[in-house]
Amino acid sequence: MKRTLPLIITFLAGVFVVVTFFIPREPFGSLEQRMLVWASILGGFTLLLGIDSLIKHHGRKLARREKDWFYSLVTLLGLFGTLAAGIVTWAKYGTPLELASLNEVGGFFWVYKWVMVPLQGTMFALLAFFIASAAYRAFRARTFDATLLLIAAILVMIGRLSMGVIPATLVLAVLLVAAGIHRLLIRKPVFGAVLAVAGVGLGALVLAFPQDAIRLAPQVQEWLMSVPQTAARRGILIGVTLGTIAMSIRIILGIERTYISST
Amino acid sequence: MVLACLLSVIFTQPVAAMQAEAIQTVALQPVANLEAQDTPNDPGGSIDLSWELSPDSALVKRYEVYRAESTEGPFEKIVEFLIPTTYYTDADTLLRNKKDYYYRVDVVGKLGTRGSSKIAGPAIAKPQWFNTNRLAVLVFALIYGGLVILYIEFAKRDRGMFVRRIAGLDAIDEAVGRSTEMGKPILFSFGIGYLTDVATLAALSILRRVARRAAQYETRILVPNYDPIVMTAAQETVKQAFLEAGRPDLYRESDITFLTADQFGYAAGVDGIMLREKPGTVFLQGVFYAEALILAETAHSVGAIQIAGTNMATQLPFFIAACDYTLIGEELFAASAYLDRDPQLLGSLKSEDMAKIITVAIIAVVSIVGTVGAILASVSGKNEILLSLGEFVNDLFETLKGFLTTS
Repeated sequence: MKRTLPLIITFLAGVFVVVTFFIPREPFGSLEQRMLVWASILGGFTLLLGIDSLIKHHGRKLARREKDWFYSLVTLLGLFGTLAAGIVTWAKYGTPLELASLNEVGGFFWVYKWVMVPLQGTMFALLAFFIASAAYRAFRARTFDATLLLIAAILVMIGRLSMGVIPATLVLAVLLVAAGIHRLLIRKPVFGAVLAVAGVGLGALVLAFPQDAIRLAPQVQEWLMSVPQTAARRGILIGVTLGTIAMSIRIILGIERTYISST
Repeated sequence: MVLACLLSVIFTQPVAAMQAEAIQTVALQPVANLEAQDTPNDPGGSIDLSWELSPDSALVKRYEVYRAESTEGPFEKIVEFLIPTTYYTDADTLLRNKKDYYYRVDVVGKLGTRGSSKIAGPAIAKPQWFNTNRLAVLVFALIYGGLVILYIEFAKRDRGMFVRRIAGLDAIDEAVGRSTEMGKPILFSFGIGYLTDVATLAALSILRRVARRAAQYETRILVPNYDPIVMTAAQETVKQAFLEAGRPDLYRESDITFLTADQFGYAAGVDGIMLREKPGTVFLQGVFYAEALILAETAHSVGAIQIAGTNMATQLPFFIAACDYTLIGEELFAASAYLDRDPQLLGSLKSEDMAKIITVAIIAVVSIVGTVGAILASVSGKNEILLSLGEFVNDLFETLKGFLTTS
């Protein structure tokens, strides 16, 4: 029964929501929105579960002086410190969400603006360095696929330049020739020759027809983004959509049960 | 000569103004073909109005829409427009279903002259039982639902159904084994999805497999969470998996914790755990946004083998660039069928392939019809046969497009 009841509820709720999707008449038409409101209300209460887990986990580490207990202390201070800031602002203004607390040291919005936002910004800023390191690994022209990725990426970057298309393309040509020579040296003659010839050809074309290169670079970039990139993306999206529908049908019919424990 | 010019300016300006005034004082021609009808595919309480602009639209200052409950009135102004408008949806909260309403549109000139349209009505607002705009969705859902059930039946009879290899799922056992050999824990992240996300549900089935193997190999598994409900589901899943593996004694609830419901706070927390615990294997399965690469690159920096999977098309390139294995979109949803080899699950997987074939066929047919129509329109010239054929093909294309693009 412990396993059957959730399956029955899932089936009824799933079928009901699917049916109401096609019925605009009230009360069916607004049911989806109403259920979303219920879900967000329930979501608010479930945060208590999370806070309970957080306090228990870090409280235990702190009490037992486990490894890295200092980080647990910082976490708990952060949690209770923010709570205290909210209570103080609430006591003063009747609501913790008072914008005037922005300019008061220790106010709820002060904590948000001067602690939380900079920390979020710091984490987001790390992304730039991570993109560079991931791109370095992905674009190393070790295989044919990686080389294609590298060339496509450089062409897109060159196509988006407002100036300096010729020098940038020449750098690409030199890189291709260098990669080709490297491949020749590590006994991959065909791949190496293709890269070197492509590099020399690209360099010669740019030097011979500089105006055409400046005109064509944005067009090539546009084509790469709107044809191969969009085609691949749509293929993935169709797969994802069909997979989502199949998974939903499996859940509604009770075939997919991995999310329900039998303990 | 100069005097003549001055006189002409003095006398012609008032004359022009008088002519304009004369035009303004004559009644304006009203809007034409005013129609009022129930708004289709709605929950009721709404009436659609449409009309054609007045021939004197250049002289019109504003359009006023009036409503009454009988032809005799009284007509009440419900809205006015200062720009030329040809439609309006009356969704006034005072509008009642199954009641007759009459409408009139007045045009008002700059000097207050008016032109009233013929009265349209009676129009009755009614709620509908079926949204015809969603017919294509219903047809596709019925076909797809039918295929799923059909292939599940096939799979029950044919147990040797072929499923292509998915490298990311095949590597799970190897990755867990690696962590065991290195004596390091496994880290599993659902990203910042909720339990209402299908990708999170799919990730739970992978967690179950990973946890079962981890229990068999006596390896610790860490699951930091963004959402408390996902945390509860993950705790239940891991507990169940440890029980199935015959090692419930190894289950530690404190390893499956809530971190924070803030995106970058979560990324910072998981990164911290990675740097302190140095996991041998990291699973990034579920819904990810900008934190995807932050997590993947940190995992790489601590030397962990990474198996990622998401349905977020924008994050897939990051995972492909940074991780050892990536489950691309639908492969994530195929995980439970692939790992459990349950005939019912495999059947639904097979139905996905059939639906994909149908989808591609529809896209191909509509594209070909559209292309042929465009070619015929450009080459037909004065050839009557080609012209009518082109019209037929273009009509067919528009019908198909209209049916498929309703939502």
